Amino acid sequence: MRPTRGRRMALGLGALVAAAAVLAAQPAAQTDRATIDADQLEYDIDSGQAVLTGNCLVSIEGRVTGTLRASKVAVNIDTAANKIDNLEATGPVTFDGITDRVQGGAGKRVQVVGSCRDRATFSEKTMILSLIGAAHLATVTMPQDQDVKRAQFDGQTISYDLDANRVRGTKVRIQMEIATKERAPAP
Amino acid sequence: MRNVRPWHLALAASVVIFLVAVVLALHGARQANPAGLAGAPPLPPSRLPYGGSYKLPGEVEVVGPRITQRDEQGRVLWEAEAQGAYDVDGDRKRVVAERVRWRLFREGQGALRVEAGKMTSELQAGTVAFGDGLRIYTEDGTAVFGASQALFDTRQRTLTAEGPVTLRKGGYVASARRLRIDAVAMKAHMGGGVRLAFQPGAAEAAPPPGGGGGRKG
Repeated sequence: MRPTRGRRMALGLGALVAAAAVLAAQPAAQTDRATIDADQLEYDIDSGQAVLTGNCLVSIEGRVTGTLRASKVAVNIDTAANKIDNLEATGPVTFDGITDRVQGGAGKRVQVVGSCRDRATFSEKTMILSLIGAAHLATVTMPQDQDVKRAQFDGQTISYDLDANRVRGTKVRIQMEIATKERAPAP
Repeated sequence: MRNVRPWHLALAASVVIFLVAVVLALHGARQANPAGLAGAPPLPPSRLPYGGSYKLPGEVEVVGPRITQRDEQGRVLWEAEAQGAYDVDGDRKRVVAERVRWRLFREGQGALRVEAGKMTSELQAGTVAFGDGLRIYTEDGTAVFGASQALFDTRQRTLTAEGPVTLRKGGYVASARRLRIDAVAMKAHMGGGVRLAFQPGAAEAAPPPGGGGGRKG
């Protein structure tokens, strides 16, 4: 018995749905890599926490690619996922990085340069970088074409969502530069 | 007896003398190094007979291949078991053992484990030196330290190592040039060009030798 055209279409649709379900069930590829260079490391055998001190340089590569410099970095490690769960850097802290394509950004990436006096925290889960004490943050959309957006934030605390390209802060002063297309002169 | 000639007697005597010499030579070699420690120098005559049980200074007790040191309160500080040869030198107050599994206790609880190709315990100096394929495991086996050699100070209760040292836990590896483990505070300090690298998908640390848990006292 040859399957009818409608039956063939139904079978094809079913296979497509099944394939989509299998793909959706796959875990997201884990490509985040990180290295931390420092003068010293103290590892607490009971708690598993690692604290690095002296000329700390955190280099991360993944959803955000960049470096963080501080005098002290405490790292909580997600040993199941083999990655940094979160870290706290003691100031002065500087951060320089480029985010992956931001949500709703039409393929745009954002270059982020930040610094603070007291401390900074970064959570891998939330992808939020918080700068505390005399915080400064500058963002520029990449590539720098005619739609480039530049912004500078200075405040007491600044939190930047690297996934959503969203800034929150306290006592913040904002400077923004948004390029606009020149209108053609009226005839 | 008619056919016995003097040269027959001389030949028989020389054979007997040769055999006696061979037996004496073999016996002498066993006396000098009965445990057969590979590469070890000839042992002094002070060495104690192999396989015995001894109480040595520094609360060290040797029962066959098991060596135990207790602290001032009589609790087990560390214990070791030699899988290979071992030697107890009573005069020099030194215990040398090969292919050792060593375990450190803290207040009666297991704290660290060491696997080493060679262990030398100097009872007067209060040190235990490890070398030859050294691995240091935390009690739960989730973290492993690597070094070419290390020294445990029984008084300070610190384990120190120089040269390339590593810490492996889960998917990350920390490397440095110095390691110091404070067995009281249970903290490891690494220094000299520290690098902590995360390796996505890396294997978990190997389980500790001989399982975990257990109390001693």
